[in-house]
Amino acid sequence: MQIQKYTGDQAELNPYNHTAQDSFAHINTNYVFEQTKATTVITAKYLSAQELNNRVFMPVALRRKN
Amino acid sequence: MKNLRLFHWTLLGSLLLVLALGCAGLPLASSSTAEAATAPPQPQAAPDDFILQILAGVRQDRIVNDLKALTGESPLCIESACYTVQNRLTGSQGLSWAKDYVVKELSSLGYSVTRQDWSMEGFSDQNIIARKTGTQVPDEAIYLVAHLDGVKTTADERFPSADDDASGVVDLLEVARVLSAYSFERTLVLLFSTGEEQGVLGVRSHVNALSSSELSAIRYVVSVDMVGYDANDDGAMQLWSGDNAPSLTFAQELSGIIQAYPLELSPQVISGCT
Repeated sequence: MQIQKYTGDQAELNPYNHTAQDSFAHINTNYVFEQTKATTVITAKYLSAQELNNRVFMPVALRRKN
Repeated sequence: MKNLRLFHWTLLGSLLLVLALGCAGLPLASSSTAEAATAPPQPQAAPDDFILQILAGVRQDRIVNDLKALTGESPLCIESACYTVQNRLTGSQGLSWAKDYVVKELSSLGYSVTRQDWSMEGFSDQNIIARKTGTQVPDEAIYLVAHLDGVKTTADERFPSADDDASGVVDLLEVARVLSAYSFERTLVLLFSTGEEQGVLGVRSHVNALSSSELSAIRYVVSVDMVGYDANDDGAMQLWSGDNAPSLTFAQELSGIIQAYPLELSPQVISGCT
């Protein structure tokens, strides 16, 4: 796995963000479906009784930029 | 300890703000040109049959219906009244309808739902908080966050804010539906915040209102923001950890978990942007 370091000099990948064109027409509904399944998996996993030895504060956004 | 935890929560808020605006006001990262570092390979977990069973309950039609309703593509109906949402600006009528819709949906699923009034930096609105109490360790909470509000940057009345962040809201609503049929050991908290576009105001207010014991109960927080745009259909999924070392480790762990399941996604861990 590679960790990609944010460098701040790349273009925003969603060209419609914060515009009136950020609309349903520009949403990939299959992609939202898959993302929702991912959220379901990780939530169900951590709601179950597994050892979480270290407290983790999680500033992670499941976020799409292209 | 409270200050330390508040620091982390504040960091969470700051990161979301930075992600929305870009580091130092610059445009945001793209994975194609990002500086890459090789991390140790993470063990890939085997899929759990129980979670596979839960996963089978996720329905795309409900996600699409919610997304259309929250973005004004179709009427948003609450009880017998239907509305067309033009935008979901903090303090707006459209956002008020969206909150009512979320409350109605989550209440009907059996969640304990509360509205949390907040006022900060000249803005006022409400967060919606839904809770499903754990059966074995209810004092350990897992948080999912998405922001209901949108932003308006021109005179156009219609600002659907579909990707940012109706996509995250419908994600959490569907997760709530699917998980409502099961019992879990830990407590699930779904935080639908407002005022995000003005500086993560709703989340910051929520954190400020938590007691020490409530803060201690939190095991992790995932913010689901902008999960709807994938023009090239490559399924790339970005997990932003900031520079917080435990979060980076956790993001790697999440990536490994997601890859173990039959999902059409390619997780990428993005660090930095402090």
